[in-house]
Amino acid sequence: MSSERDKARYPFTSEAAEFVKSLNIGVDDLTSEPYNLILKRAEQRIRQALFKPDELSPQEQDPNIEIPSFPTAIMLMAFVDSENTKRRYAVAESKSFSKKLKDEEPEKVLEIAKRTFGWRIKHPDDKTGTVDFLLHFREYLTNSRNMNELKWKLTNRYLKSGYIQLTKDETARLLEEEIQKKILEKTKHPKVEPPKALQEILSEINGLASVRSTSQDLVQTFSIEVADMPQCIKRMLDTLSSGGRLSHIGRFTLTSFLINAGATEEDVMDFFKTASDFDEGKTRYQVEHISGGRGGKTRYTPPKCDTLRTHGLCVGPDELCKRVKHPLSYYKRKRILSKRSVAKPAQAPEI
Amino acid sequence: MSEENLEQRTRALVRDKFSEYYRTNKSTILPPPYMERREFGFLLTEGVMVRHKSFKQVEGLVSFIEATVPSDVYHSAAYYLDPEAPMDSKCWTGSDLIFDIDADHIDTECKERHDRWSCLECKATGHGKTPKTCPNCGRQKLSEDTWMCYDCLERAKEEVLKLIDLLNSDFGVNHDHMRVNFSGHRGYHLHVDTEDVKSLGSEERKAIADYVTGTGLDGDLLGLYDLDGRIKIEDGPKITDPSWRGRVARRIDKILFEADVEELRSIGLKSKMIETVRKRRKEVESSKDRSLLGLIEGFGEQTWKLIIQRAVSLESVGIDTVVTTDIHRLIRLPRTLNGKTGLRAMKVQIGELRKFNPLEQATVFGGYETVHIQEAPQFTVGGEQYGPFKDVDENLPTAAAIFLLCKRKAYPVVKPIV
Repeated sequence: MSSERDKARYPFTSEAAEFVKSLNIGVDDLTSEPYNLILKRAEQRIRQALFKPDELSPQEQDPNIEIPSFPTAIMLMAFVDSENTKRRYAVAESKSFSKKLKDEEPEKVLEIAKRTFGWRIKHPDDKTGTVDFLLHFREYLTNSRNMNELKWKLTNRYLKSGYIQLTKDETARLLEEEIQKKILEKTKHPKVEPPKALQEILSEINGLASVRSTSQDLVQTFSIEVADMPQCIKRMLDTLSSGGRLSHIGRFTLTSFLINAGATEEDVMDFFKTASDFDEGKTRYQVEHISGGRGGKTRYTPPKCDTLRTHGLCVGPDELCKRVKHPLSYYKRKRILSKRSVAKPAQAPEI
Repeated sequence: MSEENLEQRTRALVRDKFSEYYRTNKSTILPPPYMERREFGFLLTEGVMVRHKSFKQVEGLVSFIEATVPSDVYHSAAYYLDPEAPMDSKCWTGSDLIFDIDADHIDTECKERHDRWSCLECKATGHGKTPKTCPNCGRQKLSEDTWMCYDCLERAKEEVLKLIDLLNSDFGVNHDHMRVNFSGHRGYHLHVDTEDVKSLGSEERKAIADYVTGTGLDGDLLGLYDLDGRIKIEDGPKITDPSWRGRVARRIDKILFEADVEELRSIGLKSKMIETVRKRRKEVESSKDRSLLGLIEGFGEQTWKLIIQRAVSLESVGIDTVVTTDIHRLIRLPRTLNGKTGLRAMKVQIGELRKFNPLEQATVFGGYETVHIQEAPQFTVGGEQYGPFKDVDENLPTAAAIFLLCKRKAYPVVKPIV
């Protein structure tokens, strides 16, 4: 059973949610005493999460405020407009929870994973070495998809009868992803106007959100420079221009790469005209689709290096490849590097 | 007669025979589980694809097939709330996990015998697997002419058996939740339909595809190497270990025990090392603990790397990764005909897979047909061997004739009316 300390420490758990429900506090109550302390603490949570995530820490001495402050903060975040800010909030909160989880006894971690998230997780039959838990591959996969390190790759894990061996720290890290997803899910914009009582505090938070609009990738337009493209893309261009055929995923990769590197739809059409099996109507449809001109209006980006490797499209990494995970980042970096070297004054040739 | 006319005659005869098959075999057509939530697609003999169809019951599906006589019938591995809607409003609710194993993706020696390629630019031709670029002119405009034989279908089957074993031991999937279908051409499809996999996205399926193929495997993370880069002896991989660690150990053991001199040499082992291996084999043969791993001394880092690489590539299952990661994939419906061969796609019970021979059991047509064969290597259909042929009229069992017609290597000979 979880204590009040536990609920204050891990207010995302189902036990904490039940506790909050039993307090029976309405939204309108939050602006008057004594519940305004909850609102205050919720606002503090948000400020800390957005600007000083290291200071996020549970105030266990007053669970009646601490526990409801979490769903209150989430409700406030739901009315925030910026998706980016919501993500920052979710990341900070979930990180601080997983940090705490790493210090808990394995039993506590197991209980949260099972009861709140329904994970199929258990202790190994014979506890040897560093293995604390066995987790079903499904829960593992859905929570490790953003982790790029080789050690998280399923291929490199011990997997037996559907279960993966994990240490407690690894389990806490996977729980962090699960908590983050839960927060993001709950901060989805509700289709109602925010309650009047909260409008004042909301405009303050929305103000906070605009203070730092993070380093959003600015869409830059490049003039296409083939020399700066990664080898895999060059190979695809060569294949096409020498009349060869590309697989469907190869075509998708090349088209989305060129579009994102700044090529126009017409440029791309011209490239594809050299293909041995060129079909103008079909190609135009696909190019327009990928560039976002059709259907879902989404502009697609090429698959990341890891995916290209899976499908045998990686032609072997060069030095720069080792430092990037995506063909577009390769191109962007290489562009910057070559612009720099062009900018340097050329030495006078010796005659 | 013009080529167009010959093509029309070929299509008409194939359609005729397919129609007869569907008329007499409609009760055997095997719809996938939850058929009402799947999308069906049909390639009509004229080359038109009809998609986004759905059927609540098998009767509707069967009458559609009977009425249209498609050359190929597919269903989605995915489940949708509205399978007939356009792609982005179908409401995807899940998809079986599918693996496509095709002899096309496996290097086999028999390809040298029955496959050919030709360069569309310089007209150079060659036998075996199609090269990436023409060895004569260096261009990439190559056409290929691929066939299948008992050997390459057996190799494909070995891959399926490897996959079944891996899914069972590593992923814990029971045989009851795996369906294996012969594709009617060069390979097999394996469907997994546990609730655990249905809702996985493309990214998670990619992780599974990488696991199955051993992509991204890191010897250090799996504890294969010691600090000197040699195979780890203490706490090293054991043949009883789970996952890739055990898989690599078992395969290395097999190589060290069973590989002949030629194979050991092909891995890159020098004569002295091969001698060591052979000596050790004799020594441990009588002992209880037959594992050779760790008993081989004197191999350096490079040698172990080569052996491990070979072990990984032999253990890797040759799947088409694109199929596994595609959550909207259409896949062939069992008990329908494959328009490329006239063979029947069919479900094979896992217990009977080993003795399953598609070249005998997947043929369906009776009777004889006379066809003019332009060119064909030796091939087997219905357990009988035919060919090679070049520019001849032949009266063949219908299954063999349809096979050649589907491959567009022959056309029907019109019998004189009188």
